[in-house]
Amino acid sequence: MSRLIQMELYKFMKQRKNQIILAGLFLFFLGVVIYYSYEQRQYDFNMRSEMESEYYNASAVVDSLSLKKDRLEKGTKEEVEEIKRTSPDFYEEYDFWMNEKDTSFKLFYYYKNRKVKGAEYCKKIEVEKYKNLLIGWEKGFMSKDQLISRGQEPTELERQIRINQYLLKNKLHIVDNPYQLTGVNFLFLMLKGYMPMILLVIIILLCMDIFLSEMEEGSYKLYLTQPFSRRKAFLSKIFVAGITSIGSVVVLLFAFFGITSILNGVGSMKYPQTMTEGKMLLSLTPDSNLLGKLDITTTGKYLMLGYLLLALVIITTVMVTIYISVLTDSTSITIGVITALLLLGFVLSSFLDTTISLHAFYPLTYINVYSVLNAQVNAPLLLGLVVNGLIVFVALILSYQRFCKKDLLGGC
Amino acid sequence: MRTFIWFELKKRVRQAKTWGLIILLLMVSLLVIKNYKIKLEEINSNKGNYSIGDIFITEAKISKYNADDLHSKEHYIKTKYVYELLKKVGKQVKEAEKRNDRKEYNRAVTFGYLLLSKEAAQKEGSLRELSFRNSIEPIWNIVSEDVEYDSVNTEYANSYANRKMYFETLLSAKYYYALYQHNLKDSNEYQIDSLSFCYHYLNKIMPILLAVLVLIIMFDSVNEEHSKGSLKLVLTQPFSRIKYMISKIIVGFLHTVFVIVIPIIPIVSIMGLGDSFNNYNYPVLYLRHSFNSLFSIHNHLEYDIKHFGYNKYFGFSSASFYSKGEEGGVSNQITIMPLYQFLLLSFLILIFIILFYVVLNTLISCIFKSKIISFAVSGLITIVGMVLSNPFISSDNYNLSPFSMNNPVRILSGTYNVTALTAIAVLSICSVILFVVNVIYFRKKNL
Repeated sequence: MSRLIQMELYKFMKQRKNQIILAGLFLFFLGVVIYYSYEQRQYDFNMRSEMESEYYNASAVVDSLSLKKDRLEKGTKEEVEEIKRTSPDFYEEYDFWMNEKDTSFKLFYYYKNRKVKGAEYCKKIEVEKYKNLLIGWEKGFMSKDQLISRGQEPTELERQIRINQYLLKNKLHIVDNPYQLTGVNFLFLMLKGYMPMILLVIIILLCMDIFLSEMEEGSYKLYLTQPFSRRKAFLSKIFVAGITSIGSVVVLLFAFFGITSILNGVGSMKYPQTMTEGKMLLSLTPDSNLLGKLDITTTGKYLMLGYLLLALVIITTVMVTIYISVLTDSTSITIGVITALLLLGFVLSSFLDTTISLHAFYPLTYINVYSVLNAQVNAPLLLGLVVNGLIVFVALILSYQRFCKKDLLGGC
Repeated sequence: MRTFIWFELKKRVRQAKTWGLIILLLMVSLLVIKNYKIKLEEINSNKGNYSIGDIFITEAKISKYNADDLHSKEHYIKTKYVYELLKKVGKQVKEAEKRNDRKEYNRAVTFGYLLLSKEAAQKEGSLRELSFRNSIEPIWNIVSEDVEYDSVNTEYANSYANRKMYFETLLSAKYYYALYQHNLKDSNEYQIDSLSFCYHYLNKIMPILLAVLVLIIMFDSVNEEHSKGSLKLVLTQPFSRIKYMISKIIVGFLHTVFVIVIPIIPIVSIMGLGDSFNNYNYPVLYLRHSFNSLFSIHNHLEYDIKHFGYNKYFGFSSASFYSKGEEGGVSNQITIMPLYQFLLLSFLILIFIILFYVVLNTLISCIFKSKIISFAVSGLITIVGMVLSNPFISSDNYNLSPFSMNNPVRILSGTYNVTALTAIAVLSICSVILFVVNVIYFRKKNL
């Protein structure tokens, strides 16, 4: 068996396609580090521009509301009634925009020279601003689309408030640049946004033809002339697929963790992060009422659960890919089906409301590790682990049965 | 060649992936329809007592304040008349709304907006007023209920009226006049019926999925036959390599069109049973001279939503505020067009977009013998191209990247930083260059 595995590994590493994709995987990690280093350098400048723009925007609204306020205070009875009829929450709206103007201005000056006031001041103002934005959104003074276009989705605002309050309350050391590329933060950022999805696609391409290449070349006949059972052949291939998919990612993660640690320090595994409440985390049924409910945890625990979920989703997708390839014997169909499944995941996350339960039962939803762990989508972690685990098991059994019964010798 | 195309197309249409993609597109379409229906219900329930009639009544009040400040009796009488007219129109709009009288509603709103445009035109000067008069006099005569154009003098009615307001109100008047002419109901951004679905399909679904669809369809177009060895067999026939390549591109193009069009047919047909397709004349926004100018107006839709929290909609089509950073107003380059005409032009642009992606994927499939590498390289080029080109779509850039010309609706509406002519030119030139490279490479390739 070990000889078989060695042989499979050797074959795998010798393939030009795999060498190119592994190089692509390395370049992807390098690209991520370069991108986040750039974001880290630009963070203050970007935040200053954002806050300046938000300040001017709020100022313009406050100016127009001030005219209305004058009319409300000094206008005729008819005018006052008209304003009260059209804007029943006028004073609340005015206060909201005044607060938005004020907090944006303070943050703008903070990012202009952050040393003057310190990170604690920034977090206090951020809490004030984000709470105000949430009130504005609930009252309808600011649309959800506007918040999303500013990168301030309500669930993300709630997350920020929660973590800032925790940092202030416990007087912890504050990391005020989210792109600070320490080793630990690199691992954290790899779980954010589209990063896990890109990683998944590369790994699928790597493992897709582990059964197919020999099928298309017709070399299985030769393979079976050797004293190996089909079970051993199957298991060695699965083992190699596992090692290469998870192994290459783990090796690269460690390597870049090391590089970023050397460059910017390791970072703290105890730094607080938000995570969905235990009730939702350990639930086997989706519950939209628990969306946005967060607890505080350590970065270490967050990374552990996040990478556990990511590894399971990767294994699931690799197993499904292997099953389709064994079933169809066609690279084209396998690529087509897997891309369609990934596309469906993307479509569901783009077009389907986050509260819908369907998210929880679609295994590729869990590739959005950050959203799942921060209760931003109706998909509990435990259910995700169970669903993906079951699919791995079923796909493994079915692939094995199919492979063992397959006519590999040319229909005699 | 024709026989080869026909057999190849039949083979591809019968493939499971064709029908899988059609089902996927159907599912996405149904999801979008469901989302739009939910949003439409939300809008209807939050609408409250808001009426366009209130706009005219408010403007009437402004005219009244201005009239009260005038010292000349002649000017006072003229301005007072404008006030009365606007107030009357506002009331007519509200009454028509209550009676659900669509025809009268559209007429009154058109006339109301014409009055507001005239205010702004007269404020701008005599040349503007003359141009306004020449362009809208026929409409005025139809919707004004015998109010003579010359009897309305709006010169002193609104001191705030400006150029920006002129273009916006004139466009609104033309929009409501088109509704009046064809007896159509006013709609909003989430309106979804038979033909408006095609509009949303091209505007919301295609830009996200088109490149991936072509990728799935085309990544193995040449290399599959190469690796199976059937390419040698094909080329032993009296069939040149160029003809082979052209056939592959035609088949890929027809196959993609098939996958894109098939899901629309059942949805549009079912919805058409409900509305009898009478919305084919619905007015939508269109960039004037889009087919004979190389320079587009700038798109600020993304900027507007970030800074003001909303976009300006005329029915279900949107326009950027003009000028940038100021709320209200639209560019004078924007006009309206019937929906069916707009959709035909959109499909014309879509043809060039599909052609570009098909030629690109054919070239890559031709270069790499391994299907997986071909898929990975095509995907990488498409994604990187789209990500890098994305900034060209918004702000003050000119969009000249073929990867960011994936939304025919926004190209035609002038909200993509590119005109239809430029888009077609760029896509055609890129397709031709890729095709030539493909042919040169394929002719020299050792098969």
